[in-house]
Amino acid sequence: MTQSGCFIAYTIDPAAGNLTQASCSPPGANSALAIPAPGNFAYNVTGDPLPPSKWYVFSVNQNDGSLTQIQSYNSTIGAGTLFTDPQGRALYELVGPQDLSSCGSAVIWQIDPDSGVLTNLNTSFSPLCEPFAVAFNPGDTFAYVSSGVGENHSQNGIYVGAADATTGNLTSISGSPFASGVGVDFGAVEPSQGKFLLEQGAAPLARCSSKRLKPVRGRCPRSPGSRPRCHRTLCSSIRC
Amino acid sequence: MVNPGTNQIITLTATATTPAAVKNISVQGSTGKLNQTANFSLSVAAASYAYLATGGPNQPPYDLSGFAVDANTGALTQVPGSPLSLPNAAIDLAVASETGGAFVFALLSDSATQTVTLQSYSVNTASGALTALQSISYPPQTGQTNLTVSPSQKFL
Repeated sequence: MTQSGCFIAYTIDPAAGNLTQASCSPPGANSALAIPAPGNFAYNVTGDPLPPSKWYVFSVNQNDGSLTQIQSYNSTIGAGTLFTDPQGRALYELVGPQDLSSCGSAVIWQIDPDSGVLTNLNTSFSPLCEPFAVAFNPGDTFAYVSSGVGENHSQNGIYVGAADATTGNLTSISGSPFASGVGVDFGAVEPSQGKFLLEQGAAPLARCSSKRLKPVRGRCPRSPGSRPRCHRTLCSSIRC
Repeated sequence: MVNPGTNQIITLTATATTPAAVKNISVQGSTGKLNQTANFSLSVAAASYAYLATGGPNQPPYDLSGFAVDANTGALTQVPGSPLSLPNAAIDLAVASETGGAFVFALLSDSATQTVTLQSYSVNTASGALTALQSISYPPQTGQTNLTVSPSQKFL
């Protein structure tokens, strides 16, 4: 959890769910951490859509969850919201527009699993006017990016990218973006079979809808147990 | 053993490694008087639940809703006890699914007092229903935001 001045790590009692504060690792920044699988490194980017931004890379202590900063650097790209694929191949930085007349972008960083070093991939996956969230199908072969599109970002769309099995780079599929009926504030793919994408509209219960997706082979992403796919306030819990 | 003239329940179970899918199953009697043949579909899918916080700062009502997701149709059904009423707006949610259980964590913000509370819930893995577990309150204006669960599910 992010707190002014530090990142707080709680250990989760696996049986009872009780939280015990384990560490408070400075420096803290008022933005979210991304912790790609397998969980050895954590990333944080600060700033706003106007460049530059500042990146922090941390190693994660697997005993108590505490963070040790191993790198920081300035980026010429504006700060965005960080997402990662379940396999931890890449970081997806969704950078918002600087104003309503401009568009944001998706910046994709390949992760070196040994060192945590990021490499900016030259992706063709664009444009995204007001990108908001990323969800992956259970096989991690497709990414679904919700975004405002069109003039003044008044419409909503779902951009779909085929994910490179090694780098996580995305390539738009034919037909993308797909129109969204209710808004694309948040999204998650139903994890058992990956046939449906859940999205939240302004009035969540009445307008929550599902869209049929191309069926994919059902596969539990981790065994045993499960891992969450969570995007802001819409979370799906997987039971395998 | 089949007892003629009585209704019987046949339980089909799938091993833990069975891929989630729709299976076609054929049943056929082989001996005695049972000679009915029937085909039916058995849906094998891992249960999954979606949790959604509604209401924003100064925009009540503040609720935490849980939905069971039908993996075959995509239909959403509210889980028992949903929605839960929250005392304040949820500014973030996170889910951890350990081998021993599944848990939902909600970060609640009271804009009037500028205080934040971390509330945890256990998930009934059979129904998706939530039970409140623990509440951690923080001093005012200390700026808690952004929940992240580590891939190991060990840390929040």
